[in-house]
Amino acid sequence: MTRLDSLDQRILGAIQSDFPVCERPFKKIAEKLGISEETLIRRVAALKERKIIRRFGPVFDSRKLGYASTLVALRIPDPDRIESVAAEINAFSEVTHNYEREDCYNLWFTVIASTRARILEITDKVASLEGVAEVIDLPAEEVYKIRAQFEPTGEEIEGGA
Amino acid sequence: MSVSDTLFFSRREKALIRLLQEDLPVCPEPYQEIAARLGLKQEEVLAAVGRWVDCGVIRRFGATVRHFRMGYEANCMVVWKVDELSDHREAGALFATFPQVTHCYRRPPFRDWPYTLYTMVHGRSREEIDNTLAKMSAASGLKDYRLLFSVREWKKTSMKYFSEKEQDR
Repeated sequence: MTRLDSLDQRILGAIQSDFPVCERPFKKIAEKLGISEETLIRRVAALKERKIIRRFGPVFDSRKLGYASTLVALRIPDPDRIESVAAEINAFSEVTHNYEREDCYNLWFTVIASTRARILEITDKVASLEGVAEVIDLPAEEVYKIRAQFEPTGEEIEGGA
Repeated sequence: MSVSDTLFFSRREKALIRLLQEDLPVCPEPYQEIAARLGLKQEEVLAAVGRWVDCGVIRRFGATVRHFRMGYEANCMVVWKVDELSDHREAGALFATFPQVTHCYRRPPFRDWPYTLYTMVHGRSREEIDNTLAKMSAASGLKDYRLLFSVREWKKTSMKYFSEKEQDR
């Protein structure tokens, strides 16, 4: 377990959102934290190296880029079929997440594609896979929250192990 | 979302978005470096990125922290039955205030599946998730919910928008 000192924690707290859009963004954050720009850059590079930061940059809104998305639920009655169905689904580059879950609807995947028509093409192909009894297309009708990570409090990050 | 909300992106903007999906350079002038790679001026990059932040094309800008470092992470999709369509927004806003909830959407019902409010709930154990759900249920008054624990992650990637091969779409 990699330990984070208090400066690392403060840095993680400051760089998860609202990264400045200006000529010297790191300098601006460093000033807020009361440290030098070089120290901040060195620490951020180290956090990336240690894989505590897994991505660093803008996260785009697929809808605003003009993409369509959905969540698809599958019912696969024979559990021995799940692996092969999952493999076929994963072969689509438009499938971003695919989870097996404890339920009669036991495989759930998300699709982001350039058009709604392309999504329907994918779900049609999935429906024809051997072992798939039911395919449910569940596009979001309203979004209340999307945030793919936790707040960087030290307790949460160090509390694991 | 209506068609009029969909923005047009030029070939040059798509190239910039493609590059921004890689990590931002960790150096004093990252935007200058990106501009140089695309043959653009730094001001052009700053103007485009600033505009996308303002209009929500960029929904978050910064570091994504790997949370598996928290240890034995359990993730559970929890679906809730909400009787009135008009009640979803309130319940969604309430659930959004829970730090353990990372995603919350309204989705259509189907056949014998009445659940329309979808939440992704995280915790270090099933017990911790059960505690969170008890609080969410008490706070919202929603009593009918169903837990779908993940038993296996078959795929988890991030989408690459405007990839080269679909560049001319």
